[in-house]
Amino acid sequence: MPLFNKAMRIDRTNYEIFFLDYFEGSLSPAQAEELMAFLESEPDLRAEFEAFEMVTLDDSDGKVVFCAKDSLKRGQVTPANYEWYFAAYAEGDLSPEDRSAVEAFAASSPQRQREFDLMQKVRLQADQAIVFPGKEGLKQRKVIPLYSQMMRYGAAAAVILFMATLFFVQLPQPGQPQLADLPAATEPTTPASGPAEELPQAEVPLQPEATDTQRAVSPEREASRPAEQPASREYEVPSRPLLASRLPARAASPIEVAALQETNMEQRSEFEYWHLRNRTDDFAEEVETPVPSLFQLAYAGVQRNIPEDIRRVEERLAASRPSSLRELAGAVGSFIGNPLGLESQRDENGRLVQLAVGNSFEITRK
Amino acid sequence: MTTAEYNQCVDRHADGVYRFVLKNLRDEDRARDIVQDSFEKMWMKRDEIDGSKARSYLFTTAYHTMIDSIRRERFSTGMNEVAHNEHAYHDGYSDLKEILDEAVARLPDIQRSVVLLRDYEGYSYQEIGEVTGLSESQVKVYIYRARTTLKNYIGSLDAVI
Repeated sequence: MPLFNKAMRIDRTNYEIFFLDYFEGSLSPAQAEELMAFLESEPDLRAEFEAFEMVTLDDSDGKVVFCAKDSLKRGQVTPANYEWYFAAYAEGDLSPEDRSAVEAFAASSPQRQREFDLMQKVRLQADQAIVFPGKEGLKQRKVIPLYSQMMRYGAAAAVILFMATLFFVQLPQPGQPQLADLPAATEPTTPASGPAEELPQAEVPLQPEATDTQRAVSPEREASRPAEQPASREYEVPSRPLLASRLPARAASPIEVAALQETNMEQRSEFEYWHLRNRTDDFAEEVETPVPSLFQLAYAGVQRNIPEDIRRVEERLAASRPSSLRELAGAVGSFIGNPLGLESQRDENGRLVQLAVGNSFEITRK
Repeated sequence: MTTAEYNQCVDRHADGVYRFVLKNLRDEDRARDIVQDSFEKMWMKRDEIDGSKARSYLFTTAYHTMIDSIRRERFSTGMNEVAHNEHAYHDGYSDLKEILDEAVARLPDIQRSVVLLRDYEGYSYQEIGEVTGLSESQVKVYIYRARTTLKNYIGSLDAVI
């Protein structure tokens, strides 16, 4: 479509439009003649007119073609596409028929056969000697959260500690009298024929180191005494009671009967544990003492051999809070209605070798 | 992917990934860095990776890391130095393997990568496409071109064949 207005006349202000339309072929023959006449009258514009002609694009690009069309064709191996077939043969992408065709084409010429053979050699092989040098450094180790692991160890340790504590609490302590071994329970006791002997308070010291002032010490202090005694000092319960006739006959408590009849160590230990567990808190430290004091031994022995319900006896003993053997004998004597005899024997060095509290408790140094 | 599977992947594929990257870059330090980086990325994403896909993930990660490294290298290296490196080896060929190594080094990056994955790891066109992000047909074309180029290269050295 012409750019100029048909009524437009060509002059120096609009000649570019006429130039463009001329080379575009948009001018009519009359307009073209008018343009030529204008160039004749304005010769200085001729050079510019010819420059417009130079920028005109020819259609030479349309002559550019893809020269390798034949190489793209398939269906027959030709000199134009054989490389594609050779590569496909090496890759194993061909059908048996195509493979045969390729082999036949290669065999048709030594040069093609050589190229075919070379193509089969173009197969890269990894050098197995090349290894990654930092392989171990790449590996990761399984990570267990520290908290949960510590919790597991802690739980295991707590269980072990609990079981060990339970075991040692139930285990009879060295020197502590065993219920099943107490002679007062294994043999029938004879009724007391008369009043029990008076306590020889002035003559019988309760402990080798006991004094009047020490008799009033608390149970806690009493419990600490075994640590002060030599480790070689051991006590044993005699096979026969020395003062069996001094207490009235009584029936054994159900707990004692169970303890005496049972030879099963586990049940015996269970009874011991029950017995110790039911002692009052005031004597808790005594229970945990590895080597029981004389007072502890006497306390345990008296408890097991007095003709009262064990719970009631414990309550009354706890209420009286005895802190020495003398006080213990007095307390027991008061609630059984008979004064409790307290006898002791010493060797030539003045060391206590035997001690008896009524017929309930007796120990002899080994 | 469990820790055991990850460690198993290290044992099985670290060497292969290293060879693949080393053949592409011809630089041991960079190849080692890329392998370490690839395994580090895989470890970070181990919860999302299926153990059976670990190898593909590893090579894909290594390939893209390597391409990034090549681009950065070219950006920072002058073309003269590159041209010099391309002609670094001329003499002393003793066998076909050495010639092929040299020829592979001359291949365009993409052709070299696909043919290495094909021959070193035995990947299919589809697997190579997944690693490189190319279509299956593109992979095929690149491999054919690479093989033809390699064939022509070794064929031009008549004296050593």
